[in-house]
Amino acid sequence: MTDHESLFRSIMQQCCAELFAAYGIDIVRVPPAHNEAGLESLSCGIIGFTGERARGALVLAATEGVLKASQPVEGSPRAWLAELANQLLGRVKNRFVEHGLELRGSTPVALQGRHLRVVCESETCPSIFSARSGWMLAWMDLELDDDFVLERTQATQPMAEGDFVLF
Amino acid sequence: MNKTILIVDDSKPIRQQVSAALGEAGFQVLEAEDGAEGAQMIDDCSIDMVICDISMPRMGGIEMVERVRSNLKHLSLPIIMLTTEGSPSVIKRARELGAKGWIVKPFKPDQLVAVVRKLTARVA
Repeated sequence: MTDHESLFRSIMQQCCAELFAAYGIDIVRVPPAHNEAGLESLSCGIIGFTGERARGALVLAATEGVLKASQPVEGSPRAWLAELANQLLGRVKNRFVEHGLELRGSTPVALQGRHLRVVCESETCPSIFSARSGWMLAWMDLELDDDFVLERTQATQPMAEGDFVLF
Repeated sequence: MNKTILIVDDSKPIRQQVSAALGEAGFQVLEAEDGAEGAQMIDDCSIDMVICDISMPRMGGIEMVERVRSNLKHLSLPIIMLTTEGSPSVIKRARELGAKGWIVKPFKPDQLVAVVRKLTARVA
């Protein structure tokens, strides 16, 4: 894994924890072997993204218990997961900007599967988290231009999640 | 009479959360799934304030604000953006077009109600 990939992966993991904390769910990252028995039914929210120097997709998957526990109002868990994937990408985008990478997200979609198994092949291994109410996984398929150089920009910082301003 | 608030967002959970928060606070809430439907409802219904996402199919939030502001009848209609987008350049663009505020998701229900009360009181 390159320095870029390692950094962006760690940003995504931090953003995951912050996102779920905002909805009252504490999650803890666990090694892949911990969760193999817990994925009989799993929903996946998927959102694609593009930028001048990057492209890819972000996947957020969760068991039903985590979705229900995090939902502020009753409704479709699948639609909620798509919204969570959208909000996760929003957080990731806002952090990546500080490193010279601007992304635009597409419309999220959600899929549901049964008896899914996580395949870990070194760099493509998803980050796996445990919560009191179940499991969740996140991974980002990020393709960077070959000449992409990591930089710390002095650009104006984006507004933080949960902030508001009146003009 | 209760103020009528329009929430424009392609995410049903967000529309439900906004409707629940504002409904409990005594507002009447209408929903639209994208900017095109939102702009049409603003023309057709009596709306006191609009809460709008940025990234939506068919017509996004920035385009909707531009279209709504091009109608002199809606020049003073308060519109705030509720979005995951925090980029200063996009916020600046929305402000220039006439958006009155910006909230980065996830929102706090109490905060949203306070903002809506403040902006609807201005036009009372």
